[in-house]
Amino acid sequence: MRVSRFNLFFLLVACLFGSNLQAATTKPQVQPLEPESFDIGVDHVKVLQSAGSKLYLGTSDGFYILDTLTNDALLLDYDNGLISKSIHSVTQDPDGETIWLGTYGGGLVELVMKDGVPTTQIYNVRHGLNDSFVYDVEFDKAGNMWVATWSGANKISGDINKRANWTKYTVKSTNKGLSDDWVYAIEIDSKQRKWFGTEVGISLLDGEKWKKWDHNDGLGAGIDIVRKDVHDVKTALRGDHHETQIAAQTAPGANYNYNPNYVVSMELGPEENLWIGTWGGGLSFFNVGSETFTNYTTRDGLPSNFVLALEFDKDGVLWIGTIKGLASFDGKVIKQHYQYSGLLSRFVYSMIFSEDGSFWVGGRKGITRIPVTTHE
Amino acid sequence: MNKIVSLLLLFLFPVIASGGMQESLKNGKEIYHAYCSVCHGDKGDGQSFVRNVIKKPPQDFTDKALVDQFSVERMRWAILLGKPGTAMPAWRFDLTALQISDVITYIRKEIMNLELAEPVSPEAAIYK
Repeated sequence: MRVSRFNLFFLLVACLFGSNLQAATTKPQVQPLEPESFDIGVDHVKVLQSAGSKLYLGTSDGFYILDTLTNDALLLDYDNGLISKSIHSVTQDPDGETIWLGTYGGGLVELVMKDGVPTTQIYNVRHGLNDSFVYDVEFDKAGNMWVATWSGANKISGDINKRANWTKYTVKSTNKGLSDDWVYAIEIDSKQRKWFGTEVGISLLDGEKWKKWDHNDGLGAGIDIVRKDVHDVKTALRGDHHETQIAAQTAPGANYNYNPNYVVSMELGPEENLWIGTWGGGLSFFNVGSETFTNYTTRDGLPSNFVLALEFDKDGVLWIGTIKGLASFDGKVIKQHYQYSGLLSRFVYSMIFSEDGSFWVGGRKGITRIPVTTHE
Repeated sequence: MNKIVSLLLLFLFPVIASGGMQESLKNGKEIYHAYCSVCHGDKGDGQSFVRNVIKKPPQDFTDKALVDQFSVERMRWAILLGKPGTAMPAWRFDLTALQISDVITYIRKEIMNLELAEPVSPEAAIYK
């Protein structure tokens, strides 16, 4: 039985860190394009990023750096100074040396690797961060860092250690320009406009001006369209705050299991229009020029209306991760990829295309490498 | 007479400033659910989702064995300065002294079920 390089690589990780990492498939590669899945013993892989030969995994159980050429692997968790091991965002600093980790309850982590040794610095509320729950980090052209939290967004300009350099954007401070304080995603377009995906729709900061859209404007499919596909997923939505959010929702039929205003994922397309994954309301396309929405649901071929992740390939095909597997959309037809859903689970939390053309999919338990993808 | 009134006002200032017990509890509840419950849980028992992924689980305010350890001042300073090495952040730049005292009032009365004759004073009693 041939053991692939990646299997060796993950076995090495297992040896180094004692995790229960196991190659889920170690069968002979009679089909070279066959996906390989790797159970790395985590609950889920929330985010994937690629930098050269390096693959970054933000997981529920720590941050992994995998070098796909040298087979070196590193796991960062509590032992490396992290307060939270649940990583929700991974962003490479434009300086090329720093990686910023957004954590669930443990603030914003600055990670610098020197000679293979990680150094971490945590930024939290006392530094100016709105709260400890960081969902996204983006940089604008001027070098400002934009951070999405559960208490609004932050902009950091200049020295991050100076509290005066942190600006807060909340519903209150923006006079309701920001749709909601629970910000899950930030996108910055070529005009340096900032798009914020929240639990109550999307907001745009264009210079100093705010604009926002929600289900009443067309975001997310209506309950009548998706009713039969609404699943019981309320365990993922907990707490009084969500209850309040649902109560404040203007979308008819909104409840724990359906919230078309809840932006779970967001991606700027090649033509700088916005693609939005919603919580039960399907995939929403926002034409930035005409300010109109087009919604796609299971009726159009999506595996599920709960869209967790979005990623474009080099051909401009949109790959869609849902709670029921993977799909792709070339702008005309949505296709489901059950052959790739030999994934470790149906949940697709994250996706990334690496430089060697591989398509990596993060789900429950671990990751799957798909050597070549095709929409056809 | 004026001295007596002044002394009385001085004595009652913390209570007047915090608007009385009901007002303090109302404000404290709002603050608790805006800033604290995500980690400490809606019921204050530390049973939140985040407890599974942070280095040290959040405090359980309903644990009778621990109630004696949670003095007002310990709670106040934990909120002000955070707890290094844990997920408890420092809220001193974000919450006022009155907001902090209100949330302590709420936690002590509604979650710890302690008898409180009046709201917790916003004035820190560092040397008490």
